[in-house]
Order: sequence, then structure tokens, then C-alpha cells
Amino acid sequence: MSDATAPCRVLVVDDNFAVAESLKVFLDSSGFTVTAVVGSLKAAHAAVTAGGFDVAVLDIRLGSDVVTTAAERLAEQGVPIVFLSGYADTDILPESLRGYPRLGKPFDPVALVAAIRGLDK
Amino acid sequence: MAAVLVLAVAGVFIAFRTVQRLESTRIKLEFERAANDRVRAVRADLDSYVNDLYAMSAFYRASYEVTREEFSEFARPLHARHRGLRAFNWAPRVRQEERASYEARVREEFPDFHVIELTADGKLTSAGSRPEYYPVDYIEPLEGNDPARGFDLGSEPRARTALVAARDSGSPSIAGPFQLIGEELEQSGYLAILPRYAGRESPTSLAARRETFVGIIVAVLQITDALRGAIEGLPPAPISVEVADRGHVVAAYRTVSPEDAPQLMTLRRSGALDYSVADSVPFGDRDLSIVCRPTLEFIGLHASPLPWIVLGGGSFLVLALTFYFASLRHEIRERLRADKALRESERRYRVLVEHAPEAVVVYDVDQGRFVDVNENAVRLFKRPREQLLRMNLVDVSPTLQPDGRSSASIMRGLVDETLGGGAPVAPWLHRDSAGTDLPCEIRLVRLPPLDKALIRGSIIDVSERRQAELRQLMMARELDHRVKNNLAEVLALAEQTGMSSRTVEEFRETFSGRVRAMARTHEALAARHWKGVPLLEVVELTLSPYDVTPDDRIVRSGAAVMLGPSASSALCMTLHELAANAAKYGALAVAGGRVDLTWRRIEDGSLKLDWRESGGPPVARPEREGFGTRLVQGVVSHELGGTATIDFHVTGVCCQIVVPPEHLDDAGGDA
Repeated sequence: MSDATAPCRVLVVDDNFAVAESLKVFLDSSGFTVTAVVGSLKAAHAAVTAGGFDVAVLDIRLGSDVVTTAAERLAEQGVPIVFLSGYADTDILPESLRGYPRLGKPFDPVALVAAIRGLDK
Repeated sequence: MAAVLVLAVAGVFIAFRTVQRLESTRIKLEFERAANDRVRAVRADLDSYVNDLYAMSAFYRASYEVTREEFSEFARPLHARHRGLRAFNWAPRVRQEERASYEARVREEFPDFHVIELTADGKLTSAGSRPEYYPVDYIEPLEGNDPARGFDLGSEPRARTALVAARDSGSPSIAGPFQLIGEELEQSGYLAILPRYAGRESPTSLAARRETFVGIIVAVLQITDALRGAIEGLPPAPISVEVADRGHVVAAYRTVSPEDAPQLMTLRRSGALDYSVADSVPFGDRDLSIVCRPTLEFIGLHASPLPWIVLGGGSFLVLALTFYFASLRHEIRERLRADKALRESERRYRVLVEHAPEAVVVYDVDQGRFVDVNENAVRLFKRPREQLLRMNLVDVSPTLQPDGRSSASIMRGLVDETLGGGAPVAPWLHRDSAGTDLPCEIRLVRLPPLDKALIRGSIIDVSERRQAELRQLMMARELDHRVKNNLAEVLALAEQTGMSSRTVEEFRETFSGRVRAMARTHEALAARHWKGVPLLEVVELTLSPYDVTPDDRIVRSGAAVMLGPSASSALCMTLHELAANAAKYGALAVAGGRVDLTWRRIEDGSLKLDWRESGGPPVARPEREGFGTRLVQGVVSHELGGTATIDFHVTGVCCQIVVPPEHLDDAGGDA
């Protein structure tokens, strides 16, 4: 999907501004390029439509919504996903999405980078 | 009970006395029959002696002269027929003047013959001189009577009296009683005397009778032997018979022995033997009296055990009935008591079962169906009681339990365990008549009696408990989620604040302010169950820490608006940033500065807030956009999809915030 030299482009979806901002700052400083940061399901769908990223880091809960529909579109497009959630359980996600890596909140920077890199390969 | 017993005893006694009386009467009748037989026999016997005399008289009348031989011939069979007859005699009338010729004539046959009489000292001697003599002449039988030959009956006063009476009346006359001479058994004797007159016709006048009187025919009677002879021809009966002559007993048969006398007296006094038969018996010109009395032997012979059988049998019956009824009463009482206890126990059981908080069924293993179900079971399985009473535990369950095994086979195991004395408790999936599966917990236990295979099933619907558990689990997860999100946010804020702070002091102040703002938001939301907070409350709790001087420097105005949970936390953070900035650099940093915060709903339903500072130091646009500014704009746009524009006007910072209507809760109102 991406060549080794080009920086990996990342979509960040999290409904908390501070957390999203923090992710962006961290990922940008870790050799990734965060191309979009959105906080709602509506904005996430817009971002998926716009495209321009290689990997998506998705918070599962977005306010009262669940990220499922946007994630399914990404999965259809073959875009790798890393789920971030304060939820320990998986049953909120449909079966088809349970194969993606999941990280708990607050995120572990090393694990996050490893997860994205693992997907990217 | 006691009264009945007394009546029964009285009844038995009355029956005993009645039977006893009937028995006595019967014995008395028996006695009277036998006694009358005896009276008749004695009467007939005594009659027969007199009749013999008449027969003899007729014989004399038929013959001109009766010889000694003829007399004997005639008298012998008569004597043989009568046991009491000692002898027949013929005593002729011999005048004084004829005495010698008479004696001479008899001496031809009996040489020692004399007419004799008894002296005063009891010796026989030749009779003295009298006008006439009645010497005993013909004697039949002769044996034993020989000494009487020649004895002048006229010399004995009583015999003479009777003789004269007979002569004058022409009828038999009785003389006696005498003590008979020459008898082994001392007994009284009588002479029955019949007069004899000359000629064939009986003289009709006294003078003629005296004139033609020629002698007497005498029957010598032993009264005791006569009595014996008369009675012994009858069927034997132990009855005493006494014959009395003018008040003196002259003969007795079967008299009472001295040792029986006292008992007999007692019996007579008690009335049991107080009867006798008394009659008179004519004997010639004499009336003898006869008395028959029963003896002890008679009573013994005729008394039947019937009264005693009645008494004994009755007493036994009363005793047996008493015991029977007493035990019956005891048994009935016991049974009533047991019935009452059973009814009470059943009532208790019904209340226990009917008011049990769970569904209760009683399953009869042998019949393969419920024999009892309570109202809760009817409600749980949504089936009428009559229908349930045709079903069993498997019928009200799905075919398979959640673990995939068949309900029937698991239940068989549970039933076997229960019948073996166990009390299994198991999760069980039931199914009601509507087809809804009911997660339950069942408890089985065997019920008495042990000759029946009864099992009580107590069924608790645990679906509500399940849901509560589930809710609790979800709440725990939600809490976990929130804590993790909050920690993530705090961590992010720390990082961002750290990057924009120049000193640790500045970091500490800014960061702690932001975390406190978060905490206040959290508190307000938690108090309202995370449903949202009224705008005014968000404003108050955010700004009040900076509005500490006596005069109101922050003026708030606007309609009541209910914020959604996202808007509540976002505005809390935004207003905190604006106020913190104003307090540090703007209108709230100096005396006389002020802030006007107003809000309203605009055309599309959005909420528009206007933050306007004045009276503060002159404002210069910062060279670099700080995190605070980005935070204000980012939170509103990122989290709410709204807008926040900050204008660093020289007279004071102005900020306009627009919150889209989806983050407002119009239905919630200003709670």
C-alpha cells in the first residue's frame, strides 16, 4: 500500500479533542504524517470519502455513536485499522472487524507505533 | 358414657332377675304338678283301703257264713295289693252270755284261745267281764299278727269309740293313730272299721243298726308304709310329703335332712322356695292333711343355669362393649385429633406453597405429572393450573438446555439424585406457553411419604437477576471506559500543556486549572446521570472561581438552555480557558475590567454564545497561537462540530461560540 520511503499517512478519529491532538502530535513526531483528525462519525465518513491516508487509528465510541460504519468502509477499501478504546470488550464491534489490532486507552506509545508499523508491512 | 354403662348394667341385672323369676315360676309349676300327683296318689291309696273294706263287706253279704279259710282266700290278694295294709281282721260281736261258748268254739281250732285285753302296765290278760266283746278272730295274714288273736277291740277306748261310730252310722270309721306293736319301723297305725249287720239289707235306722250289728271288718293300716307305697308308684321327684292328723304328723316321706334345713330356710325366706302344696285327704270319717314341699334336691334338679348364663353373658357383653366403645371413642378422638392436625398442616402447607415467592410444583414421578402447582407457577409458565397438572418439568422446558444436552436426560439425572435423597440446585431453562425461554434456578427435594415418589420443585425466574447482573456488568465496563477516557484526556492535556508551558510553575497552574475544570464537569454530569447540564450551571461552575471580588465583574445573561453531555463538557472546558486567559492577561486581571457573557438561540436552532471582555489592559494579538486558543477552537469544532472564533480586539478579547442544535436537549428543559 505504501512504499518504505514515503512517510505513512494516518487518519486519527477520536471524539476528545485533547486526546486527538495528543495523538497527532505523537504520531507526527514518530515518523508518521497525520493527514486528518476528526471527532465525530459524520466527520469520519467525510474523511474516509476524502481519503489520502494509509492507516486509520479509530476510537470506537464517538459520543453516542459507534465508529462501525466508517470502519467497515475502510475495511472494504483495504485500509488497515488500529482501534483505540477505553472499552475492554469487543462485542460492540461486528465480527468482521474483530481481527484488527486493538489498544486500550490511555494509549501505549510504543504499542501504538508497533501496531501501525505491523499493519503497514 | 358412664350413664350408658349404668343403664347396661341395670339392664343386665333386670334381665337376670326376670329370667330368675321365670325360672322360679317354672320350677314352682314343675313342683306343683309333681306334688298334686302325690296328693292324688295318697288320696287314691287311702280310698282303696276303705274300698277294700266295702268289698269285704259285700263278700260277707253275699255268703251266709264266712269261714276262716274263705276270709283268708278273699283277703289275701287285697293284702298283697296294698303295701300299707298290715292285716284284715274280722272281729265278731260277742255278748257276755255268749263269751264262753264262743271261746269254746274257737278253742276247737286254737286251744289257747281267750278273749284278752291289755292291762295298765302293758300286759295281755283275759278280758274282764263286759256286756259285749269284739275279739279279733279272723286274721289275714296270720304271720306277725298272731299275738292279736282274741284281743277285744272294745277294750281299747279309741277303737271302741270308732267301733260305736261305725255301728251307729253304718259307714267306715277310723281309729288311731296307734303305736303299732311288733313293728321293726316304728310307725303309726290306723284301724279302718266297717260295721257288719245281720241280713242282706243294710238297716236303715239307728235302732235296727244297733240290733242287727254282728261284728266289724277291720283293716289295720301302717300309714308310713301306705304313704311310701302310694308315692313310689309315681315318677320319682325329691319332694317331701308329710301327712298329718289333727295337727300331728303321722307319716313323712323324704323329710328334709337336718344339714339342709338352714339353707332351705334361707331359700324359703328369699322367696325362691316359698311354696308348697297342702290339701286334705279324706280317710273314712277322718280328714288327714297332706303337705308337699320341694327339697334342695328338687331345686338342684330343676334349676337351670339360664339366669346365671344371662347374668354372666350380659356382664361379659357389657364389659366387652364398654371396652370396645372406650377404645372406639379413644380411636375416634385420636383420629379427629389427627385429622385436625392434618387439616391444619395442610392449610399451613397451602399457605406456604401459595405464598411462596417462587413457583412451586409437586411432581409425582410415578404418574409422570405435576400433582400440585402454585399461583406463581401458573404465572411463570403462563398456563392454567389444570393444564399444568397434566404436565411435567420437561414439558415446560425447551427440548435442549443451553449446554446442548436434552432436557429430558438432564432431568432424569436430577430426579434420580433427588429420589436418592439429594437436594439438587441447578440452573434450568424453562419455556412458557408463549414460547419464551425463562432462565431459572430449580431446587428439587423429595417430599414424604417415602412410599410415593413425590418431588417438590422450587423454581426461581432468574432472568431479572440476569439482567441486573448484566446491567451491573455494563455499568462496570462503562465506568472502566470513562476512567480510561478521562485518564487519556488528562494525559493528553498534560502533554499539550507541558509543550506550551515555559516554566514548571506555569505548567502547574495551567494544568491543574484544566484538570479542575474537567473535574467540575464530571461532577455536574455525574449528578445528572450523564444526561447533560443546564448552560447556566456550566457557566456558574466554570466562572465562579474567577468572580471573587465584591462587585459583579462577569455579567451572564441568556435564556435557559439544556446542554447535551458532549456540549456540557466541551463548553465547560472552553469557558474555563477563556476565563483563565482573562484572569491572567485580560479584563479580569485588573480592577475595573469586566466580562459580558450572553447567549441566545439563533435561526437554525444553534446556540450562540458571546464572550466580550472590556476595561482590561490593551490586547495584542499573540505571535504564536497558544494551546489555550487551539483548545477553545478545537473542542468546539472537533467535539461539537460547531465553531469558536476568537477576536483579539484591542479593547478586549471577544469570542463567539456556536453550538449545533444536536448537542442541545430541548426536551430536557432547564432542570
